Amino acid sequence: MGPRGIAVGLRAGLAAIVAVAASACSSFDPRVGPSQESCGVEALGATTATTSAGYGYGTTTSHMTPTTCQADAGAACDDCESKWCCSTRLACYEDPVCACADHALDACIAAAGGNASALGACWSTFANVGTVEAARVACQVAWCQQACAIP
Amino acid sequence: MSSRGLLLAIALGALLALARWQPALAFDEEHNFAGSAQIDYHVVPSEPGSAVAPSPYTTFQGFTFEAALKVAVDISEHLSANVKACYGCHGFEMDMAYFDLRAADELNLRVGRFSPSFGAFNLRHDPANHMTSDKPLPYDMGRMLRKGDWNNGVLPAPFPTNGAELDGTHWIGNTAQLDYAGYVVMAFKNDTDPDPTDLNFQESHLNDYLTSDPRPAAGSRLALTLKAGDRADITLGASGMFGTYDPNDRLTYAIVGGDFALRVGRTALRMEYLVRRQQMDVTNPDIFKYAIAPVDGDFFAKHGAYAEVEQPVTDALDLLARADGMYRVGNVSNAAVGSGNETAAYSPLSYRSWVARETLAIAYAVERNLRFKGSLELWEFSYPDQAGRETELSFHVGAVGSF
Repeated sequence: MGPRGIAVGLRAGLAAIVAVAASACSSFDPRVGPSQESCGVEALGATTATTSAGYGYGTTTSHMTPTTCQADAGAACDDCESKWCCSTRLACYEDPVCACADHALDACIAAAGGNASALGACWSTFANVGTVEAARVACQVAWCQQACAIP
Repeated sequence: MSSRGLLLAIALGALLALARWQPALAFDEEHNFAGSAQIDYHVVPSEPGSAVAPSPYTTFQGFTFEAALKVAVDISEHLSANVKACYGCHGFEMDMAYFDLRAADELNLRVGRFSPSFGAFNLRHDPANHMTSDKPLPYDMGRMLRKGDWNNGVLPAPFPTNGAELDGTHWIGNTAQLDYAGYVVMAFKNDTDPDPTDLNFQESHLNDYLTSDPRPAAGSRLALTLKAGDRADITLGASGMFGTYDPNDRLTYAIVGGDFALRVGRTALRMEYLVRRQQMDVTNPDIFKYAIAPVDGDFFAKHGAYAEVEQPVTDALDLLARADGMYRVGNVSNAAVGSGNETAAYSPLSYRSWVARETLAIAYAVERNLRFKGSLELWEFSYPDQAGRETELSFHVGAVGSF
């Protein structure tokens, strides 16, 4: 057996140990949500720029804070939220994580098809993503629960 | 009896046992002076960083130098002191400054600054004590490629800190040796970042020997060595360490590991595996590459392992083959450790990232205490660098001396 064979054998052994250890203990198996770069939603006011920072990473995104709320015409929930919950709404769209979660919320609501239980789960999941999401839902519940059909 | 009461009883028992003996009336104090130095030249033909100014976030190339001076003093039959100062990539450091108060082989109290007992490589971390120029990846402290992406190894060695350790060795007949250690020490830190997501090893270096994190870390090690005559022995060990690393003592880290060593004649086989579970502050989701999962989303796990075979060819020539790697799973912060959570750029790591390396090394002793080292390393990454490379090659040429 040559050096390459020894190396391949050692690597296979190590990979087996790591795989067993990783799968044996769920407390060492973290989870993540969707990638901020891959959910297809660009955060509000985002501009793309290239950086050559010493960290060695690639493209970065910086954010500019929008100053106005613009409601979607004809959408009761959006109109209400823009009128009464402007700051929490914009805060969500400025936050790439929240923007992704909002995208997922829209899909979840569409899939729920009016089922109150499923709708409740959609909103609960969204609110549990983080503080920005929770603040947005809290305001919507306070001011726009009927318009947004929040169970 | 509660666990806290049991610990108190054990500690009191240990102190009483240490206080029992009578100091020797006459003892000639003994001094030992030792030292080592390694100069190494690292070449990475494929590294994009080689074309630009050196950066602490990419790869160290060119010459690096490590040196250490150690004084060991046997003050009495039961008391000894060790002081070791070293010089490395980040300047002068105090690697050791401790007293050993030994009641018996089975009971020794160590107090001061030292690397607590964890794993098998800890004992060989000095460059004079291993055949390669660099350390295995789980213990890497900045010599690895793309070190900024990984924030070094699982447990960069050495890891000196301040505290106390109770350890000992018990022989079971002539064939078995049981080693144990338990310690409380100053924990790793990250006091720089408002929302810490990983350990900041720079804060364990000189000028930062104090901490604003009041809670100590605790750990232990157990190892069993079985000897089959003079020609062979086998060692199995297990280690664990737990602590918090932020000023508010909210974020935990836990490191566990196992090690195995087999020596037959002059051939040595060594294997080690360790994993660090690192809790992250997820109150600011903006700095993360992925949305925070509501369950099990506030930590990452960093696995590391190595296996190596060391084979002397002649009295002067040694060969070593090593395979090592790391595997990181969990959310990724886009803010470099120590940056104050400034998200200057996106991390290239993904939810599951790995690095593997194969090393062939040679060491030739021109004199008993002077050895030339050379190694060839093949690196494989799960993600491409800026030039699109997932495979890289590096070379080490160096010399190490000891006295």
